Amino acid sequence: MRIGTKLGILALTVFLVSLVTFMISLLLPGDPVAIALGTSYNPNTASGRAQITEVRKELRLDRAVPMRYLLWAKGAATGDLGRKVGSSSGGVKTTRILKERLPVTLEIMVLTQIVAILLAIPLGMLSAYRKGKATDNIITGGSFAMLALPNFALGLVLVYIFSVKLKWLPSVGYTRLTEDLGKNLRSMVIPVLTLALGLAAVYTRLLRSEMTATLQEDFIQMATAKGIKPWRVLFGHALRPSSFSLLTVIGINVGALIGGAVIMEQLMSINGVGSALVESIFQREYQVVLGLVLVITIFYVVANFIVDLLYTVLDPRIRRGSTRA
Amino acid sequence: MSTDHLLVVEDLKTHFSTTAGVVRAVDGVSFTLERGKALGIVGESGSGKSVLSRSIMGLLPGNNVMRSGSVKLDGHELMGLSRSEMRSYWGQTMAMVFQDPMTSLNPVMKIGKQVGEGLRRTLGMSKQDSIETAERLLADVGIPEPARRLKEYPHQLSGGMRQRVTIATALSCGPSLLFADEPTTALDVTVQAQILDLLAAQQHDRNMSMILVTHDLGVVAGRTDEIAVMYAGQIVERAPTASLFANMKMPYTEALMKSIPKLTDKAHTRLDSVGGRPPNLISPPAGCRFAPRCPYASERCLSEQPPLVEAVETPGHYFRCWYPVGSQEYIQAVRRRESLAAAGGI
Amino acid sequence: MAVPAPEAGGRARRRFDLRLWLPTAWVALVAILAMTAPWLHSVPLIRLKPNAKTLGKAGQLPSMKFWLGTDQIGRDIFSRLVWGGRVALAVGVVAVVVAMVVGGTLGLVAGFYRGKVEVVLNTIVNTLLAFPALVLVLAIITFLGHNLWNIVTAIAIVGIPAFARIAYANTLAVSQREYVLAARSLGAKNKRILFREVLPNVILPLSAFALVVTAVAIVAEAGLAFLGLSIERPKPSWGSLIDDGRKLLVSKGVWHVSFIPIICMFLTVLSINLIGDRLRTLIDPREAKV
Repeated sequence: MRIGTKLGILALTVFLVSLVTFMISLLLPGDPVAIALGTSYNPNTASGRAQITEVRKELRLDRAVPMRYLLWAKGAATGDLGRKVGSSSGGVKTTRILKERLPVTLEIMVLTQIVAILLAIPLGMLSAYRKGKATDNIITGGSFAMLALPNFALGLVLVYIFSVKLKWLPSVGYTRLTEDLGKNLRSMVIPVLTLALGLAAVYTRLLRSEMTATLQEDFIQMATAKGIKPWRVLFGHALRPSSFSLLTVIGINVGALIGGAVIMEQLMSINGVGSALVESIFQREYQVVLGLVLVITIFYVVANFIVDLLYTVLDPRIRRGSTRA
Repeated sequence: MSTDHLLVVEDLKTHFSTTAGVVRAVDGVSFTLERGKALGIVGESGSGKSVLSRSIMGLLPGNNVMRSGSVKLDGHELMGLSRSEMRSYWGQTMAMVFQDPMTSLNPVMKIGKQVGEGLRRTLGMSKQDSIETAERLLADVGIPEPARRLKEYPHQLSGGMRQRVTIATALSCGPSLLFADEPTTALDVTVQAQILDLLAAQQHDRNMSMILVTHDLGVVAGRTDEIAVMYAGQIVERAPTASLFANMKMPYTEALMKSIPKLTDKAHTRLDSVGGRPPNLISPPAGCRFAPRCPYASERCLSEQPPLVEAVETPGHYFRCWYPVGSQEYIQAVRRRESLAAAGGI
Repeated sequence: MAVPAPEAGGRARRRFDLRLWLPTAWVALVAILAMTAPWLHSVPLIRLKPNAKTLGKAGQLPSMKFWLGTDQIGRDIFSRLVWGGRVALAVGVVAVVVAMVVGGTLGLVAGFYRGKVEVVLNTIVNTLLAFPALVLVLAIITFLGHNLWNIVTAIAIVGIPAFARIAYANTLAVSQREYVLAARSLGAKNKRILFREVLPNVILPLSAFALVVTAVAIVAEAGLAFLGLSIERPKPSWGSLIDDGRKLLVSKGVWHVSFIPIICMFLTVLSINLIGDRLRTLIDPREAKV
């Protein structure tokens, strides 16, 4: 596919995602105004009525649904993702929340992917190379265990071991990267390790099965017959052909990682986008929830778009537009 | 003997243990190969011929492989060497051209790197030198525009070109023994002869020994000095090429011969294929292993295994048959069959 | 000529397979306890009392009286675990079956009838798949509100596109096979081909996938409960049990209140994964040796 076509599909996906996000807001039963204002207003006073009118306007409830979508989408495209309307919220804008909290979540996600890939590549390769032997059984068993342990459970186990028992790492909180690099990394260990172990299990399993297939290939035997050392055969010949589906799965798991970040931020009281989302849900700040959902989803869509482009770099057969053998 | 033996194989056995039983893929094979000579190993699929070449090279992976016997290369015993000890022979002393060039080249590595890899990794050549040598090698094996090809990927080449690349790769470190395992089976008929002639020419020019494994007697006919016919894990006939074609002793070789189409045949002449299937290598027949499929087999063939013996009239011609082609018993058996056929019995 | 590879023994497979039966037994135990929970309060030995606070002191270790100890306010953990299993069961069975039926039908229709239906359904499926799963669930329950059936609905909605895609891919593959083409050329009706030839070949991979989704759904609900976004407390769910023990774990180092539900959940999810893995091996011989 040409890059132009791909960009077209990307734009279409972003449009459809925004449409679906908006449509979710229509699921709301009851009166959004009452919910937004909670119990803090009195509809019988003039100021109460003025408040209602203001909120109705703010939420664009005075408009027809398609118009509401268009205005919302136009706002989103121009950097207006709504703001908090609750009386005690101070009208914080969604974009400000994002600006403050996105770096934290991004740091967790990037570090997690790096750690997970660094764990999975040697483990997956070793598992395939030693297939059926003790090493493979230990790695496979470990992956199965990690796959069955949800991140909030694993996170608690790590908190218990490293914070409560060993007192090596903080159990809550986050220090900004710009404040203190050492403290920042210390506060990242448990959330990143938790998410990376689960992710690494997925990657290891996949790489093991892909690698097992690749190691049966004639070109591996040919490389061996050239007198190349086994580790060079593994890294130089077997890894790249085995990593195509790994790349897709890394992209897909950005979605799972976002979910994981929501949970780990909540567990460790880290002020990231995930915890902002959960707070907004509890505060019934619907505009903010919609805005955050839209941004997170577009981020995910773009991440997968980039992964798709990376294929071209990894697989020369696609580069020339020829189909795979 | 005063001749220069490069490879001496004695009683080589290669068995695989499986849950169904022990598969005796190679079962007591002995032969010698002189420096600069070519040996053709011929047999049906399942005869153990490919396992034999991999077993000599020590390339068989897995812990279900049992090897015994002796493999001496240039006087050095290879049997019992570890994989890492064997590695110093691979590429530099022994090299292999695999069957299918579509799968034996790494799809995501440039040709230049694949050809030059052995040079860099085993001979310690610099990157620049390896590229120059690789270009020369590609030219040697008849690839046009070698400099451009170095930068291409396998999928950009035709099957015949790819096989030339694998040959160049195998030749890169100057091996004294080259294995070619059915090197033309996966190729178009039109390029098969070119590749075989290339192999023969390179073998001759480099004074290299070659073992050419094939299922087709026609492939080895003009291109090897000696031929060994394998059946059910054993060599059943071995002779200098001319002697074998002039005076074949084994009914199995005869059957293989009849399965080759000839130019003199009329169109649509039915080819005689070797009837039946190769025997189960887990429990091979008690007597001659070919006996169950042999049209001339008698009682003795089914019960007693014939040894590999040298023909009296043609020294250097070995065979494994009680009643070889041309013997009194063979002629009687042929007559018996003819009379049966005449009576409508077959 | 291939080197004969060692076969995964045909005899070994027929033996009593512990890796299949042990997990099955555990899942069965959890399911039976969860289903019978409302009647178990009167059974002499068991006496489930999930919400009674007066039963004992907080944070007690397992004993004869409280089999799995008591939680941070002295409730019986075993009782709460069994009741929480009902939520896991509802999500793992109801949500998954709904998602499988709806998603499977959509995929089947798109793959079999092709044309405009295919384009529309694929667009919807791809759009829904573009959302990170947990974020979509959170978005839906933000607006629907969080009670058990809304959670089930949200998880089912998020599961539909994955099932649809698998059904679609398998339908496409099956429709191209010789015997379907043959049946069509013999004049068989669409409906007959769909039910006789295509459906049976699509149900098997869908069912195998359903087990994976069951595990994911149970974890997803527990995650929501852990965030405080599943059923309202004090009704127990495994995720909220784990969350309940969290403060005790961090402040006082009391581990069992959180870890017992963690172990229970771990064993359940591991069992479902192991069963799924075994079944896939049996269904697909290509994976037999993995």
